[in-house]
Amino acid sequence: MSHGDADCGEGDPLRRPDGSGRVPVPVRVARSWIRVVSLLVPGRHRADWASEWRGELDGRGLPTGDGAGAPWDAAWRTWGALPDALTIRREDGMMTDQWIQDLRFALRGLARQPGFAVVATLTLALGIGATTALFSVVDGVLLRPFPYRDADQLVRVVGVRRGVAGTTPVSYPNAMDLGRTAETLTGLATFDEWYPALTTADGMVPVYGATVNASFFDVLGVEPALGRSFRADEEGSGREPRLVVTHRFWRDRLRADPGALGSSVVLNGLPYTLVGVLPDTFEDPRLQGRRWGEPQVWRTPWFEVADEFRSGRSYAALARLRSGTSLEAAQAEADVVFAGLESAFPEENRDRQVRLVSLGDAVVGGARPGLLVLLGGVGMVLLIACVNVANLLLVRGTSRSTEMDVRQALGASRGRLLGQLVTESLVLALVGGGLGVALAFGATGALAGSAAAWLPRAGDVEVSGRALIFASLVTAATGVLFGLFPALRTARVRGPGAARGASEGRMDGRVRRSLVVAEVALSTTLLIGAGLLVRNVWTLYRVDLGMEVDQVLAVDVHPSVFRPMEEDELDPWFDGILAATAGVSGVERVGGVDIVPLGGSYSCDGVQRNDLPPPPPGEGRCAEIRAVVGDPFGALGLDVGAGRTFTEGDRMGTERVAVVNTAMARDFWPDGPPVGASVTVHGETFRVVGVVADMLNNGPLQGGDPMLFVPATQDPWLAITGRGVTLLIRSRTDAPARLADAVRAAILAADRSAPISDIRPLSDLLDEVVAAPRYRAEVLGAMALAALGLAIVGIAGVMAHSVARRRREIGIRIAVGAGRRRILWMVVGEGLTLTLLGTAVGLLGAVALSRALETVLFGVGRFDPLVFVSVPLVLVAAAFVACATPALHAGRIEPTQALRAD
Amino acid sequence: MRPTRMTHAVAGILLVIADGHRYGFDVMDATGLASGTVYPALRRLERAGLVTGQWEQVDPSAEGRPRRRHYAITPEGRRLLPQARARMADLQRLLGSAGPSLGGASGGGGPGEP
Repeated sequence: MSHGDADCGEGDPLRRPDGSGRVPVPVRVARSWIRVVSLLVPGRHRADWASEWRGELDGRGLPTGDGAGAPWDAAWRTWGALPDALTIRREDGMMTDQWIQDLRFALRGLARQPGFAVVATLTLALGIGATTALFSVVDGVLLRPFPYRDADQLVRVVGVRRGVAGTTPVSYPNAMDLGRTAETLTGLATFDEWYPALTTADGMVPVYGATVNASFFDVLGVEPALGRSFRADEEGSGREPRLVVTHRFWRDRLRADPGALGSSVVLNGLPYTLVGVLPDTFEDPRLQGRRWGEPQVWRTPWFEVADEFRSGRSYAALARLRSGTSLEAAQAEADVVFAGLESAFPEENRDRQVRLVSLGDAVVGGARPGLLVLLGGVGMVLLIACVNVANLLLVRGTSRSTEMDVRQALGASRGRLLGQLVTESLVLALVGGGLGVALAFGATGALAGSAAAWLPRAGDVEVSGRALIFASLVTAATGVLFGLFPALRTARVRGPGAARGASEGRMDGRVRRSLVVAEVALSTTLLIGAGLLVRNVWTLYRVDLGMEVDQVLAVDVHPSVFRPMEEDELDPWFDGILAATAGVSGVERVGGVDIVPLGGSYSCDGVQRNDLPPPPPGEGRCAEIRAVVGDPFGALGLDVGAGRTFTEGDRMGTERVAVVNTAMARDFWPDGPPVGASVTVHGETFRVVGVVADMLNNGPLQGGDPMLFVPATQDPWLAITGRGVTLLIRSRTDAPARLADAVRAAILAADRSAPISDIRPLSDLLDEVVAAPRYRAEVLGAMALAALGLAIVGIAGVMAHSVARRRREIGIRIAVGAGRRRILWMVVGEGLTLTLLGTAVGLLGAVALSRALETVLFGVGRFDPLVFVSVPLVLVAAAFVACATPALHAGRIEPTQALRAD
Repeated sequence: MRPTRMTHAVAGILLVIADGHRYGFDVMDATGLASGTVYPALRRLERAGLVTGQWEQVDPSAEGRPRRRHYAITPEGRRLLPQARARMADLQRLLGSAGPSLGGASGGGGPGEP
């Protein structure tokens, strides 16, 4: 382990040397600008050139010991890098004078029509910026390699059961047997969640951690930045407890003290010797089932894991493929190994297998379809932006036809004119691209930040080098895409006298109108896609969950992890906490459950009817088991269908009783109501005393499953797992968050050391469950609105131009008696025709898009009539708005003036 | 080598570098010229041998910032200083003579068309 050089310096010695965390945004933008422009500089000067600009930029823009720096001023000054690069290029003979002349011509031309230049560059900046930002998110989440050695060799090992959908954790002995025997694997790591409490000067603090086998970090291929990882002999009973911590924990809790190595960190009252600190680049491989955040402390098992039950499936596993081995080959071998384990241990392993999933698929596979839909959407916005600018250039081209004629007459070749016009569009694209990249820096943070709670890896997303290269390519492509065609039209060869030929004018008009149709079509498709996603979310929120979440406050408390508690202390402890919270004014009912509804955790444990013969191994049925305290049914507003719920008399030592939900009653007792029936759960016999209504415990995306509730202190597993409960506190009002402080105080009054890790309204959890669809709807919705805005600008621009060109004609019409109202409708009619055509094409596109969306639609059909009808109406209304100004303008044309002009 | 035209910008840049302003951004501050003017002019002056650019002698990784490039005037450049001063004097005279038409030297009125 080498960390000698990391120890020097002050503060945090492991901070990256470029200090990228503290660089002001304008300086960061300017740095990328310099990087982009440096591509213009001849290769042998490039490094020095970029270094000089960086030196000046950083010297001025970064905070120094004696001042804050002037980031905006310094960043603004770097615009000069472009003329500078061009000078060097020319001095180097790499650029002909003609090139320079074209550039000058382009700049001068754009300066003459600043309105056009501003609209065109802003449109492109919007398209390129949004595309770059979204690409950055896609890159950071889906494409960015994981920071592990040969990360593509890492696979998740997940349990599956033949004939049953879904995945399970794996059992420790099975996983170890796989790791030992499989030739195709070179290492296997196990992971188990751990929720210890850290002893600090200010009392106990809950932290999130993990229990991993000793080879965990070796399998990942991660070297600690300080110290070492676990040694092979550092697991199992009788070993001294060792600890590896993340860089963040070391910085926040150990004051970034390199001397902390070898010292003790006290967790749950037990001293752990700190042996290693992970690098700050370490990325959690996200093996945990719940979203508790990233593990901060890592230990090895202190018990003999070899003694773990083969049927106890509570471990996540990760394996490394032997170099050159395919996933398929490893899967085939794992199938063989598990067939062997099944025949060796038929009781425990019937129908059990594992599936190997590449780490990338396991972590971000679920996010892929949604992100690709958004990337497709933003691509359409970019396309619309290009179409819009192409249209603007065409309009400009027609108005410059005289200039082109004169220049051709004076001897300019077609190639020369073309070169100049393409240079002009490249300049537009370059400026638009530069602005777009600046926009992307802000937008990427916002896009990724708002998704960080549920989108894996989104927290670390930034505009990467790859994204900048992508932006440059997009910029170049857009420059050609929107520039070439109008340039060809504008610079076409004309015969003498053909300059204002009617046929050519008509041809241009047709092209412009086709572009508008295309633009409207793309907007329609996008709006329908966004409409479907918005409807989807709306429907999800309106699904009847069976429980009432709005009035409920959820409070996580852990009874046993903070101080050792004897089993018979549990009932009085819960009684005290429940009584204290129930006494808070505004509280209506109080209950608690070990796994909070909507908490995103699902498990199915075996339940057996005792009046039936035991099912053959592997064919038992399962239900979600919940350990509860107090009255969670009342707190959630669940109706009691039959029998009773729990009372204070149901506690440790009294008869074990259970309450089932309607789905379970129906599935397990089709022959009649189950009240009084006897079942076996977790190896103990329980008597069913009541039936409660179903709730969608896992949110609107999943159906109601069989559930069985037992009093927490009667559940033999609660004490083993040591997990806490979430109190469900029903408020008398719809603003349960207002009770938070009073509830916290009441709990602490009952038990000063009670660890409260989280207090939030239950509706927050619903928001989290619906967060991903809502995010997609919001982002695609924003894009669709941008597209609509661009389409309106496009329609308005083309109609205005059309009116200007037909001024004479309209004048004549008015002169010969056409009413102004009629002229008005003529213009509006033309715009509406284009819009209707575009909408029709767009509807076809939407049919195709809705197929791609199907994977992310839950609450709404892909041909939702409301969306498919309302979007075309919105577009027609938008077209009216867009045509209004040009139409009114046309209606006001004075025939005398129109005929005299030109 | 291309001859360097003694434009006002070139004259101004030569003079402030001779005065000891060494970095590109400092030259901008001292002359009031934009970066798009200063840098291309510096490149031409360096190529013409009138100024010379040199890298700061620091270790970027130790300093935590990139090296800066500073410029100094060469003996050839120094020989042109009188010419540069004359050029600036022309400019001053030009501006000075335009003074009265700008609405009086007292500066009471707003700027008018020259």
